[in-house]
Amino acid sequence: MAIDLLRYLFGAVLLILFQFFLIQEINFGTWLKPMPYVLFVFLLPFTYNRYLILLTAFFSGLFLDALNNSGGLHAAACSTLAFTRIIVDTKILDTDAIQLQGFRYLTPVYKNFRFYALYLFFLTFLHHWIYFTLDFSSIYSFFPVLLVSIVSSVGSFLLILLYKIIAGIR
Amino acid sequence: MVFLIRFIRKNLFLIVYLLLMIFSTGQVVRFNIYQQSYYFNTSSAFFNGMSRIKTDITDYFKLADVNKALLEENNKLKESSNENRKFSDTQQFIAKDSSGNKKYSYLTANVVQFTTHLQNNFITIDKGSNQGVKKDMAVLSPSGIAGIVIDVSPDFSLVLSVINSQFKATPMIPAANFRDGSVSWNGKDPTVIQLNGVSRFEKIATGMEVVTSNYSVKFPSGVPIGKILNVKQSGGSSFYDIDVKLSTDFRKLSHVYVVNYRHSSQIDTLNRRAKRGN
Repeated sequence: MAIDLLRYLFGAVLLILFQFFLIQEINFGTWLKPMPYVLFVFLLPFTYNRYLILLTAFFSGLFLDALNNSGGLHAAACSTLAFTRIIVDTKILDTDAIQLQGFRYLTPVYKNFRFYALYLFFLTFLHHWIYFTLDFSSIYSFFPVLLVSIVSSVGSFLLILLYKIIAGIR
Repeated sequence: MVFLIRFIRKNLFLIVYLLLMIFSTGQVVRFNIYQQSYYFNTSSAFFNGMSRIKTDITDYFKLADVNKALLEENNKLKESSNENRKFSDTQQFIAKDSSGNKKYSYLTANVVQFTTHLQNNFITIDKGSNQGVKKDMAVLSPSGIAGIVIDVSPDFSLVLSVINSQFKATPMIPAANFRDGSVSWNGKDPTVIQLNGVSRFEKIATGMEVVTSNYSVKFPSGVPIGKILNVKQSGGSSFYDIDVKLSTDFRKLSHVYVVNYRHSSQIDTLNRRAKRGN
Protein backbone atom coordinates (compact mmCIF):
# COMPACT_ATOMS: atom_id res chain seq x y z
CA MET A 1 0.00 0.00 0.00
CA ALA A 2 2.65 2.50 1.06
CA ILE A 3 4.93 1.67 -1.89
CA ASP A 4 1.91 1.78 -4.18
CA LEU A 5 1.01 5.25 -2.90
CA LEU A 6 4.61 6.41 -3.37
CA ARG A 7 4.39 5.27 -6.98
CA TYR A 8 1.27 7.36 -7.50
CA LEU A 9 2.83 10.40 -5.82
CA PHE A 10 5.91 10.01 -8.01
CA GLY A 11 3.65 9.88 -11.08
CA ALA A 12 1.81 13.00 -9.91
CA VAL A 13 5.10 14.87 -9.41
CA LEU A 14 6.26 13.80 -12.88
CA LEU A 15 3.03 15.07 -14.46
CA ILE A 16 3.27 18.36 -12.57
CA LEU A 17 6.89 18.87 -13.64
CA PHE A 18 5.82 18.07 -17.22
CA GLN A 19 3.15 20.78 -16.91
CA PHE A 20 5.59 23.24 -15.35
CA PHE A 21 8.55 22.68 -17.68
CA LEU A 22 6.82 22.05 -20.99
CA ILE A 23 3.07 22.62 -21.36
CA GLN A 24 3.05 26.03 -19.67
CA GLU A 25 5.97 27.18 -21.81
CA ILE A 26 4.13 26.57 -25.07
CA ASN A 27 2.01 29.49 -26.17
CA PHE A 28 -1.23 28.11 -27.62
CA GLY A 29 -2.99 31.49 -27.72
CA THR A 30 -5.27 33.54 -25.50
CA TRP A 31 -8.06 30.98 -25.06
CA LEU A 32 -6.22 27.66 -25.00
CA LYS A 33 -4.36 26.95 -21.76
CA PRO A 34 -4.40 23.17 -21.37
CA MET A 35 -3.59 21.49 -18.04
CA PRO A 36 -3.21 17.77 -18.77
CA TYR A 37 -1.56 17.17 -15.39
CA VAL A 38 -5.06 16.61 -13.93
CA LEU A 39 -4.70 13.06 -15.29
CA PHE A 40 -3.11 11.98 -12.01
CA VAL A 41 -6.39 12.48 -10.12
CA PHE A 42 -8.10 10.07 -12.52
CA LEU A 43 -5.42 7.44 -11.97
CA LEU A 44 -5.82 7.17 -8.17
CA PRO A 45 -7.48 3.80 -7.43
CA PHE A 46 -10.99 3.34 -6.02
CA THR A 47 -9.59 1.34 -3.11
CA TYR A 48 -7.90 4.39 -1.60
CA ASN A 49 -9.47 6.18 1.31
CA ARG A 50 -11.39 9.20 0.03
CA TYR A 51 -9.55 11.55 2.38
CA LEU A 52 -6.27 10.25 0.98
CA ILE A 53 -7.38 11.02 -2.60
CA LEU A 54 -8.59 14.50 -1.59
CA LEU A 55 -5.38 15.37 0.26
CA THR A 56 -3.15 13.94 -2.49
CA ALA A 57 -4.91 16.14 -5.04
CA PHE A 58 -4.77 19.17 -2.76
CA PHE A 59 -1.05 18.91 -2.00
CA SER A 60 -0.17 18.17 -5.62
CA GLY A 61 -2.04 21.33 -6.63
CA LEU A 62 -0.29 23.28 -3.91
CA PHE A 63 3.06 22.01 -5.22
CA LEU A 64 2.34 23.40 -8.70
CA ASP A 65 1.10 26.64 -7.10
CA ALA A 66 4.36 27.01 -5.22
CA LEU A 67 6.34 26.45 -8.42
CA ASN A 68 4.26 29.05 -10.26
CA ASN A 69 3.87 31.40 -7.32
CA SER A 70 0.14 31.46 -8.01
CA GLY A 71 -1.47 31.46 -4.56
CA GLY A 72 -3.87 28.53 -4.28
CA LEU A 73 -5.33 28.36 -7.79
CA HIS A 74 -4.31 24.80 -8.64
CA ALA A 75 -4.89 23.56 -5.10
CA ALA A 76 -8.50 24.78 -5.12
CA ALA A 77 -9.18 23.38 -8.59
CA CYS A 78 -7.55 20.01 -7.84
CA SER A 79 -9.36 19.48 -4.54
CA THR A 80 -12.69 20.29 -6.23
CA LEU A 81 -11.82 17.79 -8.96
CA ALA A 82 -10.97 15.07 -6.42
CA PHE A 83 -14.07 15.81 -4.32
CA THR A 84 -16.37 15.63 -7.34
CA ARG A 85 -14.63 12.50 -8.63
CA ILE A 86 -15.31 10.74 -5.34
CA ILE A 87 -18.96 11.84 -5.33
CA VAL A 88 -19.40 10.71 -8.96
CA ASP A 89 -17.64 7.42 -8.23
CA THR A 90 -19.85 6.57 -5.27
CA LYS A 91 -23.15 7.78 -6.76
CA ILE A 92 -22.89 6.79 -10.44
CA LEU A 93 -20.19 4.18 -10.94
CA ASP A 94 -20.42 0.57 -9.85
CA THR A 95 -16.90 0.49 -8.46
CA ASP A 96 -17.13 -3.13 -7.29
CA ALA A 97 -17.99 -4.31 -10.79
CA ILE A 98 -15.10 -2.33 -12.27
CA GLN A 99 -12.69 -3.80 -9.73
CA LEU A 100 -13.97 -7.30 -10.46
CA GLN A 101 -12.96 -6.73 -14.08
CA GLY A 102 -9.44 -6.09 -12.80
CA PHE A 103 -9.35 -2.28 -13.13
CA ARG A 104 -8.35 0.05 -10.32
CA TYR A 105 -9.82 3.21 -11.84
CA LEU A 106 -12.30 3.99 -14.62
CA THR A 107 -10.90 3.12 -18.04
CA PRO A 108 -12.26 3.43 -21.59
CA VAL A 109 -12.57 -0.35 -21.70
CA TYR A 110 -15.25 -0.40 -18.99
CA LYS A 111 -18.75 0.14 -20.47
CA ASN A 112 -18.08 2.15 -23.62
CA PHE A 113 -15.78 4.92 -24.75
CA ARG A 114 -18.50 7.55 -24.75
CA PHE A 115 -19.14 7.01 -21.06
CA TYR A 116 -15.45 7.37 -20.24
CA ALA A 117 -15.07 10.47 -22.42
CA LEU A 118 -18.03 12.13 -20.72
CA TYR A 119 -16.63 11.33 -17.26
CA LEU A 120 -13.17 12.64 -18.20
CA PHE A 121 -14.41 15.76 -19.95
CA PHE A 122 -16.94 16.77 -17.29
CA LEU A 123 -14.42 16.50 -14.45
CA THR A 124 -11.63 18.19 -16.44
CA PHE A 125 -13.99 21.02 -17.35
CA LEU A 126 -14.94 21.47 -13.69
CA HIS A 127 -11.27 21.72 -12.71
CA HIS A 128 -10.55 24.28 -15.45
CA TRP A 129 -13.67 26.27 -14.68
CA ILE A 130 -12.75 26.61 -10.99
CA TYR A 131 -9.18 27.49 -11.96
CA PHE A 132 -10.09 30.20 -14.48
CA THR A 133 -12.90 31.59 -12.31
CA LEU A 134 -10.44 32.17 -9.49
CA ASP A 135 -7.72 33.45 -11.83
CA PHE A 136 -9.80 35.71 -14.10
CA SER A 137 -12.59 36.75 -11.75
CA SER A 138 -11.25 40.25 -11.21
CA ILE A 139 -11.02 41.03 -14.94
CA TYR A 140 -13.25 38.83 -17.08
CA SER A 141 -16.96 38.34 -16.82
CA PHE A 142 -18.79 35.01 -16.73
CA PHE A 143 -18.87 34.16 -20.45
CA PRO A 144 -15.21 34.74 -21.35
CA VAL A 145 -14.28 32.56 -18.34
CA LEU A 146 -16.67 29.87 -19.61
CA LEU A 147 -15.17 30.09 -23.11
CA VAL A 148 -11.57 29.82 -21.93
CA SER A 149 -12.54 26.88 -19.65
CA ILE A 150 -14.29 25.00 -22.45
CA VAL A 151 -11.53 25.55 -25.02
CA SER A 152 -8.79 24.66 -22.51
CA SER A 153 -10.56 21.57 -21.22
CA VAL A 154 -10.99 20.33 -24.81
CA GLY A 155 -7.20 20.80 -25.15
CA SER A 156 -6.44 18.95 -21.91
CA PHE A 157 -8.95 16.23 -22.82
CA LEU A 158 -7.28 15.60 -26.19
CA LEU A 159 -3.80 15.57 -24.62
CA ILE A 160 -4.94 13.04 -22.00
CA LEU A 161 -6.49 10.85 -24.71
CA LEU A 162 -3.24 11.12 -26.67
CA TYR A 163 -1.39 9.89 -23.60
CA LYS A 164 -3.89 7.03 -23.24
CA ILE A 165 -3.33 6.01 -26.86
CA ILE A 166 0.45 6.15 -26.53
CA ALA A 167 0.43 4.25 -23.24
CA GLY A 168 -2.07 1.73 -24.58
CA ILE A 169 -5.70 1.98 -23.52
CA ARG A 170 -5.74 0.48 -20.05
CA MET B 1 -23.65 18.98 21.46
CA VAL B 2 -24.30 15.36 20.57
CA PHE B 3 -26.17 16.59 17.53
CA LEU B 4 -23.22 18.75 16.52
CA ILE B 5 -20.74 15.89 16.83
CA ARG B 6 -23.06 13.61 14.88
CA PHE B 7 -23.44 16.29 12.20
CA ILE B 8 -19.66 16.74 11.89
CA ARG B 9 -19.07 12.98 11.72
CA LYS B 10 -21.72 12.60 9.06
CA ASN B 11 -20.40 15.42 6.89
CA LEU B 12 -16.72 15.22 7.74
CA PHE B 13 -15.65 14.69 4.12
CA LEU B 14 -17.54 17.76 2.94
CA ILE B 15 -16.15 19.79 5.83
CA VAL B 16 -12.56 18.75 5.05
CA TYR B 17 -13.12 19.71 1.41
CA LEU B 18 -14.60 23.08 2.35
CA LEU B 19 -11.69 23.79 4.70
CA LEU B 20 -9.21 23.03 1.92
CA MET B 21 -11.16 25.30 -0.46
CA ILE B 22 -11.27 28.12 2.08
CA PHE B 23 -7.52 27.83 2.60
CA SER B 24 -6.64 27.79 -1.11
CA THR B 25 -9.07 30.48 -2.28
CA GLY B 26 -7.91 32.54 0.69
CA GLN B 27 -4.40 32.28 -0.70
CA VAL B 28 -5.66 33.61 -4.04
CA VAL B 29 -7.75 36.43 -2.63
CA ARG B 30 -5.32 37.79 -0.08
CA PHE B 31 -2.49 37.61 -2.63
CA ASN B 32 -1.93 41.19 -3.66
CA ILE B 33 0.92 43.60 -3.87
CA TYR B 34 0.38 45.08 -0.43
CA GLN B 35 0.81 41.77 1.31
CA GLN B 36 3.90 39.70 1.13
CA SER B 37 3.92 36.61 -0.98
CA TYR B 38 3.37 33.48 1.06
CA TYR B 39 5.53 31.10 -0.96
CA PHE B 40 8.21 33.64 -1.67
CA ASN B 41 9.13 33.94 1.98
CA THR B 42 8.50 30.47 3.30
CA SER B 43 9.97 28.19 0.70
CA SER B 44 12.19 30.25 -1.54
CA ALA B 45 15.24 27.98 -1.41
CA PHE B 46 13.65 24.84 -2.87
CA PHE B 47 11.26 26.47 -5.33
CA ASN B 48 13.72 29.07 -6.54
CA GLY B 49 16.12 26.16 -7.11
CA MET B 50 13.48 24.41 -9.23
CA SER B 51 12.78 27.60 -11.15
CA ARG B 52 16.47 28.13 -11.72
CA ILE B 53 16.75 24.68 -13.32
CA LYS B 54 13.89 25.65 -15.61
CA THR B 55 15.43 28.97 -16.65
CA ASP B 56 18.80 27.28 -17.11
CA ILE B 57 17.16 25.02 -19.68
CA THR B 58 14.91 27.57 -21.35
CA ASP B 59 17.60 30.25 -21.51
CA TYR B 60 19.42 28.25 -24.18
CA PHE B 61 16.41 28.43 -26.45
CA LYS B 62 16.15 32.17 -25.95
CA LEU B 63 19.81 32.95 -26.70
CA ALA B 64 19.23 34.15 -30.26
CA ASP B 65 16.50 36.59 -29.24
CA VAL B 66 18.43 37.77 -26.19
CA ASN B 67 21.47 38.49 -28.34
CA LYS B 68 19.32 40.45 -30.77
CA ALA B 69 17.81 42.52 -27.95
CA LEU B 70 21.27 43.21 -26.53
CA LEU B 71 22.57 44.30 -29.92
CA GLU B 72 19.64 46.66 -30.33
CA GLU B 73 20.24 48.03 -26.85
CA ASN B 74 23.94 48.51 -27.65
CA ASN B 75 23.09 50.43 -30.79
CA LYS B 76 20.70 52.63 -28.86
CA LEU B 77 23.34 53.35 -26.25
CA LYS B 78 25.87 54.22 -28.93
CA GLU B 79 23.43 56.53 -30.65
CA SER B 80 22.44 58.39 -27.49
CA SER B 81 24.95 60.88 -26.13
CA ASN B 82 27.00 58.64 -23.96
CA GLU B 83 28.53 61.28 -21.75
CA ASN B 84 26.12 60.87 -18.89
CA ARG B 85 26.48 57.12 -18.69
CA LYS B 86 29.56 55.61 -17.19
CA PHE B 87 30.16 51.90 -16.92
CA SER B 88 32.12 50.45 -14.08
CA ASP B 89 33.28 46.92 -13.47
CA THR B 90 30.91 46.39 -10.56
CA GLN B 91 28.06 45.56 -12.95
CA GLN B 92 26.52 48.94 -12.26
CA PHE B 93 26.30 51.89 -14.56
CA ILE B 94 25.25 55.29 -13.45
CA ALA B 95 23.24 58.14 -14.93
CA LYS B 96 23.97 61.63 -13.67
CA ASP B 97 21.60 64.56 -13.38
CA SER B 98 22.34 68.08 -14.59
CA SER B 99 24.31 69.03 -11.50
CA GLY B 100 26.60 66.07 -11.96
CA ASN B 101 25.17 64.07 -9.11
CA LYS B 102 24.29 60.46 -9.72
CA LYS B 103 20.57 60.21 -10.37
CA TYR B 104 20.01 56.59 -11.24
CA SER B 105 22.20 53.57 -10.79
CA TYR B 106 21.49 50.31 -12.55
CA LEU B 107 22.09 46.80 -11.27
CA THR B 108 21.97 43.84 -13.62
CA ALA B 109 20.09 40.72 -12.53
CA ASN B 110 19.14 37.37 -14.02
CA VAL B 111 15.55 36.22 -14.16
CA VAL B 112 15.11 33.09 -12.06
CA GLN B 113 11.40 32.55 -12.54
CA PHE B 114 8.57 34.20 -14.42
CA THR B 115 5.08 33.44 -15.69
CA THR B 116 3.05 34.92 -18.52
CA HIS B 117 -0.04 32.71 -18.46
CA LEU B 118 -1.63 33.97 -15.23
CA GLN B 119 -3.60 37.12 -14.55
CA ASN B 120 -1.17 38.18 -11.85
CA ASN B 121 2.29 37.45 -13.20
CA PHE B 122 5.45 37.89 -11.18
CA ILE B 123 9.15 37.74 -11.96
CA THR B 124 11.77 36.44 -9.51
CA ILE B 125 15.30 37.81 -9.98
CA ASP B 126 18.56 36.64 -8.44
CA LYS B 127 19.54 39.89 -6.69
CA GLY B 128 18.25 40.82 -3.25
CA SER B 129 18.83 43.04 -0.26
CA ASN B 130 22.47 41.84 -0.03
CA GLN B 131 23.07 43.44 -3.42
CA GLY B 132 21.16 46.61 -2.51
CA VAL B 133 17.76 45.90 -4.04
CA LYS B 134 14.92 47.58 -2.16
CA LYS B 135 11.15 47.48 -2.36
CA ASP B 136 9.52 49.78 -4.99
CA MET B 137 12.57 49.93 -7.25
CA ALA B 138 11.83 49.90 -10.98
CA VAL B 139 12.95 46.98 -13.13
CA LEU B 140 13.78 47.37 -16.83
CA SER B 141 14.43 44.84 -19.55
CA PRO B 142 16.97 45.55 -22.32
CA SER B 143 14.11 46.71 -24.55
CA GLY B 144 11.69 48.47 -22.16
CA ILE B 145 9.93 48.43 -18.81
CA ALA B 146 9.57 45.14 -16.94
CA GLY B 147 8.05 45.79 -13.50
CA ILE B 148 8.45 46.98 -9.91
CA VAL B 149 10.15 45.22 -6.99
CA ILE B 150 7.53 44.34 -4.38
CA ASP B 151 9.36 41.98 -2.05
CA VAL B 152 13.01 41.37 -1.22
CA SER B 153 14.81 38.45 0.41
CA PRO B 154 18.58 38.40 1.05
CA ASP B 155 19.45 36.96 -2.39
CA PHE B 156 16.25 37.14 -4.43
CA SER B 157 13.60 39.73 -5.25
CA LEU B 158 10.00 39.39 -6.34
CA VAL B 159 9.00 41.75 -9.16
CA LEU B 160 5.43 42.74 -10.02
CA SER B 161 5.43 42.24 -13.78
CA VAL B 162 3.96 44.79 -16.22
CA ILE B 163 1.59 42.01 -17.32
CA ASN B 164 -0.04 41.84 -13.89
CA SER B 165 -3.58 43.12 -13.40
CA GLN B 166 -2.34 45.25 -10.50
CA PHE B 167 0.45 47.03 -12.37
CA LYS B 168 0.11 50.72 -13.20
CA ALA B 169 2.52 53.24 -14.72
CA THR B 170 2.33 56.80 -16.02
CA PRO B 171 2.98 57.01 -19.77
CA MET B 172 4.00 59.81 -22.11
CA ILE B 173 3.58 60.00 -25.87
CA PRO B 174 6.32 62.33 -27.12
CA ALA B 175 4.95 62.50 -30.69
CA ALA B 176 1.59 63.83 -29.46
CA ASN B 177 3.10 65.77 -26.56
CA PHE B 178 0.80 63.88 -24.22
CA ARG B 179 1.63 63.19 -20.56
CA ASP B 180 -1.37 61.80 -18.74
CA GLY B 181 -3.43 58.69 -18.22
CA SER B 182 -2.11 55.32 -17.13
CA VAL B 183 -1.11 51.98 -18.59
CA SER B 184 -2.44 48.73 -17.18
CA TRP B 185 -2.99 45.20 -18.43
CA ASN B 186 -6.40 43.66 -19.16
CA GLY B 187 -5.12 40.09 -18.81
CA LYS B 188 -5.73 38.89 -22.35
CA ASP B 189 -2.59 39.06 -24.45
CA PRO B 190 0.84 39.06 -22.74
CA THR B 191 2.29 41.16 -25.57
CA VAL B 192 -0.31 43.94 -25.48
CA ILE B 193 -1.00 46.47 -22.71
CA GLN B 194 -3.83 49.03 -22.45
CA LEU B 195 -3.48 52.79 -22.28
CA ASN B 196 -6.39 54.47 -20.49
CA GLY B 197 -7.43 58.02 -19.85
CA VAL B 198 -6.47 59.53 -23.20
CA SER B 199 -9.00 62.19 -24.18
CA ARG B 200 -10.68 62.03 -27.60
CA PHE B 201 -9.22 65.43 -28.43
CA GLU B 202 -5.61 64.24 -28.38
CA LYS B 203 -4.08 63.61 -31.77
CA ILE B 204 -3.12 59.97 -31.38
CA ALA B 205 -2.16 57.67 -34.24
CA THR B 206 -1.11 54.05 -34.47
CA GLY B 207 2.63 53.43 -34.46
CA MET B 208 3.38 56.29 -32.03
CA GLU B 209 5.88 55.38 -29.37
CA VAL B 210 4.78 55.28 -25.71
CA VAL B 211 7.47 55.83 -23.08
CA THR B 212 7.53 56.30 -19.31
CA SER B 213 6.62 59.78 -18.18
CA ASN B 214 9.00 62.24 -16.62
CA TYR B 215 6.41 62.60 -13.83
CA SER B 216 6.99 59.01 -12.84
CA VAL B 217 8.79 58.65 -9.53
CA LYS B 218 9.86 55.03 -9.89
CA PHE B 219 10.77 54.74 -13.55
CA PRO B 220 13.40 56.88 -15.27
CA SER B 221 11.73 59.02 -17.93
CA GLY B 222 11.75 57.98 -21.56
CA VAL B 223 12.04 54.23 -21.09
CA PRO B 224 10.09 52.54 -23.92
CA ILE B 225 6.77 50.94 -22.97
CA GLY B 226 5.72 50.06 -26.51
CA LYS B 227 4.10 51.26 -29.72
CA ILE B 228 0.42 52.07 -30.22
CA LEU B 229 -1.20 49.10 -31.92
CA ASN B 230 -4.74 50.34 -32.42
CA VAL B 231 -6.96 53.18 -31.24
CA LYS B 232 -10.65 52.57 -30.63
CA GLN B 233 -13.38 54.92 -29.62
CA SER B 234 -16.13 53.35 -27.56
CA GLY B 235 -19.51 54.97 -28.05
CA GLY B 236 -20.32 57.85 -25.78
CA SER B 237 -17.05 57.81 -23.91
CA SER B 238 -14.80 60.81 -24.09
CA PHE B 239 -11.72 58.62 -23.86
CA TYR B 240 -9.98 56.39 -26.37
CA ASP B 241 -9.41 52.67 -25.83
CA ILE B 242 -5.79 52.22 -26.86
CA ASP B 243 -3.82 48.99 -27.22
CA VAL B 244 -0.06 49.27 -26.94
CA LYS B 245 2.26 46.57 -28.24
CA LEU B 246 4.81 46.02 -25.44
CA SER B 247 8.42 46.52 -26.42
CA THR B 248 9.47 43.89 -23.86
CA ASP B 249 8.71 40.32 -24.87
CA PHE B 250 7.97 38.76 -21.47
CA ARG B 251 8.10 35.24 -22.84
CA LYS B 252 11.77 35.76 -23.67
CA LEU B 253 12.88 37.64 -20.58
CA SER B 254 16.23 36.43 -19.29
CA HIS B 255 18.00 39.36 -17.70
CA VAL B 256 16.87 42.73 -16.34
CA TYR B 257 18.18 45.96 -14.81
CA VAL B 258 17.09 47.10 -11.37
CA VAL B 259 16.93 50.90 -11.19
CA ASN B 260 17.97 52.64 -8.03
CA TYR B 261 16.67 56.22 -7.99
CA ARG B 262 18.94 58.05 -5.59
CA HIS B 263 16.39 60.71 -4.71
CA SER B 264 13.44 58.41 -4.04
CA SER B 265 13.83 58.71 -0.26
CA GLN B 266 13.72 62.50 -0.49
CA ILE B 267 10.54 62.39 -2.62
CA ASP B 268 8.99 59.92 -0.21
CA THR B 269 9.76 62.23 2.71
CA LEU B 270 8.19 65.19 0.89
CA ASN B 271 5.08 63.20 0.03
CA ARG B 272 4.73 62.00 3.59
CA ARG B 273 5.15 65.52 4.92
CA ALA B 274 2.50 66.78 2.48
CA LYS B 275 0.09 64.06 3.60
CA ARG B 276 0.65 64.90 7.24
CA GLY B 277 -0.06 68.53 6.43
CA ASN B 278 -3.49 67.71 5.09
